[in-house]
Amino acid sequence: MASAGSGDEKAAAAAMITLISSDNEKFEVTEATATLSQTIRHMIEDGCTDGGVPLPNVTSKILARVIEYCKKHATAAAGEEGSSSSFSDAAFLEVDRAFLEELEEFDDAFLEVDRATLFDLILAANYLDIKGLLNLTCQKVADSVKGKTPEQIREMYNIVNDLTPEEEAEIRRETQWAFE
Amino acid sequence: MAPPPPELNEDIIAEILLRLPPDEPEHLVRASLVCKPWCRILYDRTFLCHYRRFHRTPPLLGFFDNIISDSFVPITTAAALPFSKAAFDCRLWYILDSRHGRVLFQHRLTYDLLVWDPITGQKEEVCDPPTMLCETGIVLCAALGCDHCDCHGGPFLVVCVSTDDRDNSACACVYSSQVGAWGDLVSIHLDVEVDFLDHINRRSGALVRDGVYFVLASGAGDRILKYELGTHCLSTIDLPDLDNKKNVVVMPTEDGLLGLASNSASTLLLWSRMVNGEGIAGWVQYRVINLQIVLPVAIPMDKVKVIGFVEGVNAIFVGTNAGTFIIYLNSGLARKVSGAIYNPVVPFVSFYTPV
Repeated sequence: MASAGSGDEKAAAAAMITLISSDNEKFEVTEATATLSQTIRHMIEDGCTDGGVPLPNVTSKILARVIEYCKKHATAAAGEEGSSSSFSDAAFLEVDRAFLEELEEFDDAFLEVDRATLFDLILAANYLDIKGLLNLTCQKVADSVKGKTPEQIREMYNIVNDLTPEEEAEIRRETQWAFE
Repeated sequence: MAPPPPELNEDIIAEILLRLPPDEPEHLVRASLVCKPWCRILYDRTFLCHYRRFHRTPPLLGFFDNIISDSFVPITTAAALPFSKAAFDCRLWYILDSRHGRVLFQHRLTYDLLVWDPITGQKEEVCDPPTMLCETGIVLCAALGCDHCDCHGGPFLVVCVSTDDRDNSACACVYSSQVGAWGDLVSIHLDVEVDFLDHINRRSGALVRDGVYFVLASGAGDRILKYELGTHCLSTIDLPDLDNKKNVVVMPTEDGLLGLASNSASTLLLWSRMVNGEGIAGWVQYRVINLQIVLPVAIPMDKVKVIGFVEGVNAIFVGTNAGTFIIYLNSGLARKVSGAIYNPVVPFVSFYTPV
């Protein structure tokens, strides 16, 4: 019975899901990778993934990047579970630290994209409900806003100022300290 | 040329604005001037509530030092005050304490007490304590189970203490804003001849769990006075063996124990009040920080003094000849925040959110 049980577990670990992008490209991913997305996790739980998961809001270009992120972070999550459940000695902590550093480097490199791609990634992370990716991408935009004037922010992100001069003057008057 | 970024809906813009750092509050204000949707989000109460919960620890906005500079010294990147200086003329008031977004003042001439919320501008007068003169005190939020991210306008307590050289005692009393009155006085005999000139360190209050602590000066035995909020009891705790008992700041440690920071020349010493296996409480020195290494500039050894602790942020203020520095205990990083100050300072910790 024990061997049959572990066989089932292996089968579950290797279960593949097909994701279909808005331009009809198919991506085969493991369930562990796909379930970083809460949206897909719920679909799997509801048994709605036969024949592939259509993602009409995500292009193949962005989906490929999202999968790249999920693969890396799914491995990280599996590694974390393995080490914390059994060992916590110095050698394992060292491995953990090296792994976290590698993950951080991966995230930094992952964010080296143009603004349009960054925004597309945010939209995809939001739609697919991938918390880590949403946090990473939104933080990147927040960091880029820091220290900028309202004019610079508008220019950077192609935002039209629809505040009336009166509204603008009122906010500035109430919060003069922030502009000194 | 790169394509223009796709449009983001307000939910996603909120996710981005949520991640602006609270310790640099001017970014939130500047972002509100970008366009109507950004402005709408940043002035929305639900968003601001979410923002405070997301960041959890309110940031240190600056500190009060009205002995030398007569003012508030901001520590954020904005050069100006996040609240209107005109709203409160600090010159007539002595600042005793600040906690949970409130500041406790005492009038220099009349000794009247007043609690001010600099973010909302709300001021609340506190009537005089019965049969005692408040020598120092603390203010704290009185809401049960509060995380103090957002307790503006809520109920508060003021704990005030004083010593009496006629019967060599110390006493404490608590004011509740909900009741609008002081509770009963509790007192303790100090077993020393109390010197009325050097008895209690002002601005020395700390809140550690249910205990409120003040430092008694050499004229009252160089001890710590403890008031327990739950039991309404006073007791004293001896200081550890220190070279200079004048340089002492009490504080909560990260483990929620009573802690103490002191310095001997340029060495900063951190102590924790621990209970051993036999149930006996004692001081344990748990960290030694060499200021010559931590501070960004070389400091003369002759005049160094620990002058304050920031609850929640876990940082210590140190006054030196080369200026006043803040040392963040978690990162070990230090930076200069003002010219030399040797009196205790009162840090102000609160979210600054524009509503």
